[in-house]
Amino acid sequence: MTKPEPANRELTPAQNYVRIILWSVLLCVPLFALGAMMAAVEHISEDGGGWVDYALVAGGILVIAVSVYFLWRWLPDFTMGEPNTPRGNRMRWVLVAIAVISALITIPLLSGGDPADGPHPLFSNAPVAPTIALVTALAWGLLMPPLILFSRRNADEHKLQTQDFGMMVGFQAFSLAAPVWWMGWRGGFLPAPDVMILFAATLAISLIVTIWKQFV
Amino acid sequence: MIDLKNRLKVLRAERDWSQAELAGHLDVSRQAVNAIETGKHDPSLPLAFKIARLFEMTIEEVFDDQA
Repeated sequence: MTKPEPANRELTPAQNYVRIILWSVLLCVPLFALGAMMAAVEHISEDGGGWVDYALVAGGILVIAVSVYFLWRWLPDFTMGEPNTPRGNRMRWVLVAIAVISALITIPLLSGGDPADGPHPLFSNAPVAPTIALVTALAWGLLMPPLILFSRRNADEHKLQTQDFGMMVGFQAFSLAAPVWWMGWRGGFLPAPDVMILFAATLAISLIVTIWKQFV
Repeated sequence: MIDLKNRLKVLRAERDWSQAELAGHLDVSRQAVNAIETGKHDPSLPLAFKIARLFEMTIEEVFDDQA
């Protein structure tokens, strides 16, 4: 069986984005089915299981087979209308690397967070286990610098210019907000400055401005 | 600031190239070609030379700062 040619060359970029989103939703179906199957297999291995467990395993196999077929059949064009050049492919690998690093940071935090600290351990200043802190800090501190360097070396001049403008606006926003908040705290009418709120706001502003400059 | 005009869209259309195809020839992103065509991005001198050479023209024949 040969891999189908991407049949969506004629799609507009917006239609292609929608297709990738729908494809990603479909990707969740076999993952959920796999989870249900694993639970059923565990029941069967523990106490023999009931007919429901066997039905879940059989149904799970069917759902996975059908959804994998359609995932292959409806494979979107991940180039998103961009030329298929070595530089473009390297930049798409940067996106994959960002997703992996994000997973390395969020999964330990979400799975190791104390439920008493609230439902959002990612957005909390509560203490975490030293191992989790070490893994997430190393994932960010050691993996991001070479990735940023690799990305800067492979981005084209338009992307570099929009990124530079986004980062400049982000830094200007930070340089305004941080001293105002700090003085407000020293004056006793604002809470203590939170470095992660400033970091997240700076990052968000930089990203929004970069995307605006790049696509609008 | 100089208002730089260019004939990139016309030259591309003459060769029946899509923005992505032109971007592939120039080794830049499709957004970069779109930004140059719409005047939102002025290309660097090396990229301007690359564009001119691709269309076998001089830079002045592709880009015009007097328009």
